[in-house]
Amino acid sequence: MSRREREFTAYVAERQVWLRRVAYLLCGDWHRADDLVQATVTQLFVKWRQARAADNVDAYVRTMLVRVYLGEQRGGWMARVRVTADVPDGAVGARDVEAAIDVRAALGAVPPRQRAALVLRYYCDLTNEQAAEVLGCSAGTVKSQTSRGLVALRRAMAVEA
Amino acid sequence: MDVREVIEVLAREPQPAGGVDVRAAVKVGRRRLWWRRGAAGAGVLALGGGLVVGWPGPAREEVPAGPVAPKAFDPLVRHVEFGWVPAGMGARVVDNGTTYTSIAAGKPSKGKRSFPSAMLSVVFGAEGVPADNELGDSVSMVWSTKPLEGPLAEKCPGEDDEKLSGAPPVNGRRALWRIYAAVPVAGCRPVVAALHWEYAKGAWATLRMGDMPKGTDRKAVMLRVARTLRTGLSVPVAVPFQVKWPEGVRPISLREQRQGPNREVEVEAGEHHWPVESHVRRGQKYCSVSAGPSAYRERWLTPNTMFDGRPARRKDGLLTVFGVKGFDVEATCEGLGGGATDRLMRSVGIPG
Repeated sequence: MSRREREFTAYVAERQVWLRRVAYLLCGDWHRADDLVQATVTQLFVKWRQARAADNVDAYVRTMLVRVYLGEQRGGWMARVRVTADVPDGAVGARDVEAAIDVRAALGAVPPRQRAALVLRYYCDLTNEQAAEVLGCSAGTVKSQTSRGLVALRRAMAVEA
Repeated sequence: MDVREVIEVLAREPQPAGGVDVRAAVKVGRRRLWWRRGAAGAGVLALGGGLVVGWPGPAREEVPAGPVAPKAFDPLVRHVEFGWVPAGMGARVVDNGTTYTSIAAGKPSKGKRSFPSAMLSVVFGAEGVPADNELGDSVSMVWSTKPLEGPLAEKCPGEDDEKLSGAPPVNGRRALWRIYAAVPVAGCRPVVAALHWEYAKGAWATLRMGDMPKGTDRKAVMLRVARTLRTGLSVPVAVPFQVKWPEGVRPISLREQRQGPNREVEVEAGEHHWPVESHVRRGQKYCSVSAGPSAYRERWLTPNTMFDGRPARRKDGLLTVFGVKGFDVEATCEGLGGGATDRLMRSVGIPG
């Protein structure tokens, strides 16, 4: 096994749990998350030299993962996994405040780019600037994507008072 | 429940079995990799057609006329150039080892400081180097930039299958097509991925082509590219730096990427003409120097030290010095004792 393969294999073995989790948060489906991670680590093998020289290898790989996820949205893949299309304002169904909230459905109702912004900001704890770097946009755009994502998420979870 | 709580609920879900197939990632990644250092090694000689190996060592055998199978290549020299390529492929790459020489072409990327993945590559192997998919060990098939077709979750049946079939001769030499049975991005359809031809007795060339516009006659394009290649060249690659290699190592590979005025060049040196991975595996002496447009990698690399008054970065044995006459220069040595990397970096000169 070459040095590249040794290092790469060791890295993936160590970080795959984390990668799968981030991918799952992005797409809401474990099977699809595994496909995202598989596509990402395959690209990572090609770019291993750059990745291992980076300041933060995890950050480098996370960026690749997010971009693989967002890249798939352009291919129409999203239509297969979107849980809901439009979420009505206000209450849905009974007013039972103890009713279980389908968290996955709620996050699934958030459009992909806004969802990625939420995951990066609130799970990965990145700043607006760091998230902008990952998403390939300005910090201002991250703020607005995050803000709109929060609105979409809260709408999906709203229960009529 | 605020957004963090929502995300934490999902994040705490137990992970089902499944996960990543690392072997598959390596296998497919190796197929896509452009810049591998070399195939199995062989002896030492020169490419037929009057080319002289500029080997910085003892005098080599003279090169006879006619298509003679070379046993090795001078990595600092461009041996082959494209004649015709499809429109728009202005970016160029040279990737030379001692047992192969290769060139690649791709569409220029928009960024000034980024180099695109190649769409076309041609690799000439030395005598005895297998004409398999690992020849030169690098093809980036650039499938991934295309919107995906077909199911992503399911693998294509027979995705890992390949076959070889007869192809029209290339300049009178026997040739073979390599066909991938089912390519996911092509909707699980077969794709003609490569053209192999025996350019001299016992020596093979491989042309690979990535994803092309719909309707492209892949076989016709690949044949035209192969038949119009200019071979037998002996053009020194213009390396943007001078370097004094440590005692006992000499150049074994060169990689140059060009796009407009921007270039990145890496030269690796070792004790023998082995591929670089062999040096690493056997613990032999090895060094490399590369130079690219300054700030090319600044997104991921930040200075963490100074080197002779310049911002620099040390990590895992690599030393990068930023902003040397418009270049970021990276150097490393292994198997040469302490201080070798710093001495190598101090020996680097950039003219102009």
